[in-house]
Amino acid sequence: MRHHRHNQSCRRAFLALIFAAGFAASAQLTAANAQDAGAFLKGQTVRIYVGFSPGGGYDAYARMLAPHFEKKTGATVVVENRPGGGGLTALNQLVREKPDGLAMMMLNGESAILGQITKQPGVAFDMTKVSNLARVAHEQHFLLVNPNMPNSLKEIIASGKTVKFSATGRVDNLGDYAAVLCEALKMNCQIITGYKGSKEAGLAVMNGEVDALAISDGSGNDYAQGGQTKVIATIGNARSEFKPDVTTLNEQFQLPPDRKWLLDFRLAIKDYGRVMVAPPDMPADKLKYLQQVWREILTDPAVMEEAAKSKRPLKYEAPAKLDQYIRDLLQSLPPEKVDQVNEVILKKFS
Amino acid sequence: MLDAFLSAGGLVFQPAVLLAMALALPIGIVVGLLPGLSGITALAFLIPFTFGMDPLVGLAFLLASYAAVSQGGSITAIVLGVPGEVPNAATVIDGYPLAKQGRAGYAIGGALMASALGGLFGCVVLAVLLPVMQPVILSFASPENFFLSLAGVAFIAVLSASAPVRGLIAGALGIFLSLFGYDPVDGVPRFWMGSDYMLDGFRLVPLAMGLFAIPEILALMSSGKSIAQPGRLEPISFGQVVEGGLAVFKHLGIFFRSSAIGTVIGIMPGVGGATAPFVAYAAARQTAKNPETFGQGRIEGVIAPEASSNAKEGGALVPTLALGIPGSSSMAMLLGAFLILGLQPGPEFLKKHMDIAIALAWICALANVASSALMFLLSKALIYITRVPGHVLAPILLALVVIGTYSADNNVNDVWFIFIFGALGVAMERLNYNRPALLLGFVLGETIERNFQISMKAYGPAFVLRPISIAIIVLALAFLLWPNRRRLTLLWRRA
Repeated sequence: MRHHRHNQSCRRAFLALIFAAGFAASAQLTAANAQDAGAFLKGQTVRIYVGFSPGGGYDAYARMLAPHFEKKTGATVVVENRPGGGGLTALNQLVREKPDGLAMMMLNGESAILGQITKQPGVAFDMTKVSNLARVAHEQHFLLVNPNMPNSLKEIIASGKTVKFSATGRVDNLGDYAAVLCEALKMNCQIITGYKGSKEAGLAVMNGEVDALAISDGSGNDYAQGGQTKVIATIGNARSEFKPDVTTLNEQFQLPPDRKWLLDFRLAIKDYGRVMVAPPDMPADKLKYLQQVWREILTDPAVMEEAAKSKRPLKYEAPAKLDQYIRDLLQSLPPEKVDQVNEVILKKFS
Repeated sequence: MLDAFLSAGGLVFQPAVLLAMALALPIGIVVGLLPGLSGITALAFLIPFTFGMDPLVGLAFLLASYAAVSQGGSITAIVLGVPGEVPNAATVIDGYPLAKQGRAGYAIGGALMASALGGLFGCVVLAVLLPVMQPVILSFASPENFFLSLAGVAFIAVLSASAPVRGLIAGALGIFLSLFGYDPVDGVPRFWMGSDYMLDGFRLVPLAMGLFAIPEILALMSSGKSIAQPGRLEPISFGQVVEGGLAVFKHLGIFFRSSAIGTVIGIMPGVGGATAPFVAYAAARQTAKNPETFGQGRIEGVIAPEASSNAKEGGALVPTLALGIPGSSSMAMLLGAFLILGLQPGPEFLKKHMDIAIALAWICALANVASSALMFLLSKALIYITRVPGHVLAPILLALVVIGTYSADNNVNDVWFIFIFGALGVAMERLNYNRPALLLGFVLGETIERNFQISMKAYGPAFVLRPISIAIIVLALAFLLWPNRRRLTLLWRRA
């Protein structure tokens, strides 16, 4: 009897020992796996594509963030400028890359979404499949007008005159904002496309060739220097740090639901903003690691301060939220809304 | 005003600034000498190095390298017949024939002196006009840009006065090639044939390299001889270079007119800077005696484009600093550098930092003179290149052209197009079609279309009646008709 009990307790002790050993071993393995999560990057060369020539905003963000990524992961980062197709040819190329975590892109998310919705020629990507890593920044927009124009939108609309906007194209983040603004406020507008760049579009407002321009707040603030142009509204869901006294459209107007919808739609695209993305079908572990690295970099107070100092502030948003934006903007839109968006952005106010 | 000048001088003559310039000049010269690499590439490469530099030091670094690159580009145009950058294509027309005659030193001397003084001219004008420039810049809008570009096209006819019909065909072909890719106004891609690359149409650098470099490389390979024809070789000495430098002072009228043209075109944002050297060349030809000898080695044909293209850069700084609107694509990049360094060009900048703005004008002037001096010292070595046997030089040149072109946009398709356009260049050379005319048409085609459409939409057909536009039309007509003025006055009198 005693012998049997002794065997039982021995067996239990033995089993307990095995469990403990197994537990410890698996804990050790898990810890090792966590440490190895970033192993695929150490010593490798990572490329960040930028769809524009050196010197522009996206290039500046990429080059500012590259050293921080290098420090965190031990990889070497090369910022590769691949201009073309309005910044979207590089995205066409990115989505064809292997999802090995070695290629990313500092993307103009607004252009990409707009390009897909309006079915621009040359769009060979699907934003619903692209892997979102993080949002780097997004900007409110300003409505800039020539100094000779009335000081408020209400006066401009009341006068019934046709307001001329400058833009480089219809889906260039200048023309589409103008179109949405004009439709939402039922303003008489003419959108003149063809300016070489946003600076030339700004100059056209300064010299009176056109009356107005809808542009990002940073650039708009620059052009409003010295009274060359004046900012009369903020096109955004909140006021801009650049000019906190300028009211938003929602503060100035009470829009009926069908028109407010269009404005909110465009602002939701804006919230997607400037994003860091990777090719589709990334393996879950690599995706998770990259998302974590970018979260750490973009929410690091020291990095944020450095960015703010060079006038390129960071506004991080998590990838889960970005995936939600994409679903709302691209997948759950009823066809008549898609048609309405296309009609306003592409055809109206020509 | 004077104290701004003096305090600017004090800012410039500091060790850090001068050291930055001294470092930047050799880099710029090397980049300029490599065909296919342009000022923009140099800036793109160097801007990351300026992170964290004191703003004036960083800008001195960039401006000096940029000034040096255009010097280097002139040299390859003369010595190899390959324009270092598109504006240098006008220098090829008379510079390369001089090199073939064994007088490369003479051409180089003229080019360097014209560049240095032209750049100085542009920078001085910059410094003087900066405080008052704003209203001037703002009075040039799309209609004025349209007429200037149209005038540029008219000058195509002048460029090819020896074979006018072929010249116009070449220019028209250039305009046709510029139509490929995105329509500048509606954004609809034309002739893109489903290829991502063709969305943006044909690219300027492969076109220029293909048109000019490939035929020369082929000639070097097949003849095996050096660029300077044997039998006409003078001993290489500084004497030739000095003689060329002094030639500028014998043609002061051409120099000043060309510099003025360059500065004015540079000041106006919206008109491509590439047109300045061609317009200056055409103006020089129109007003010279024996214009039919242009294209065979007239030193005026080197002085005019060189003076204007350097003056243009000083001019391009004006809207860049005064309004924050870049006067040229390289200025756009420089503007990016300003922002990175924490400066914000524009009216406020001028009010608060007029001394920095004038300091930049100083740096621009000094960099032009210093890089010319540096190139002068190197000129003997550079002339040797024209004596290297063709079968040695050709492969080196080919490799440099390919690398330089690839580095512009990191796009392999650009390299294929070097050879496609190379075939075009060879054909044009054989059949005596004017290649600079094609290049000019290509550069201007987009500008003309863009500015015409915008002008029509913004002003309606009345845009032609704007005062400055009318002035431009009148001036352009005067230039075109100048050589025939006697005949025309006779006709007028008889009528």
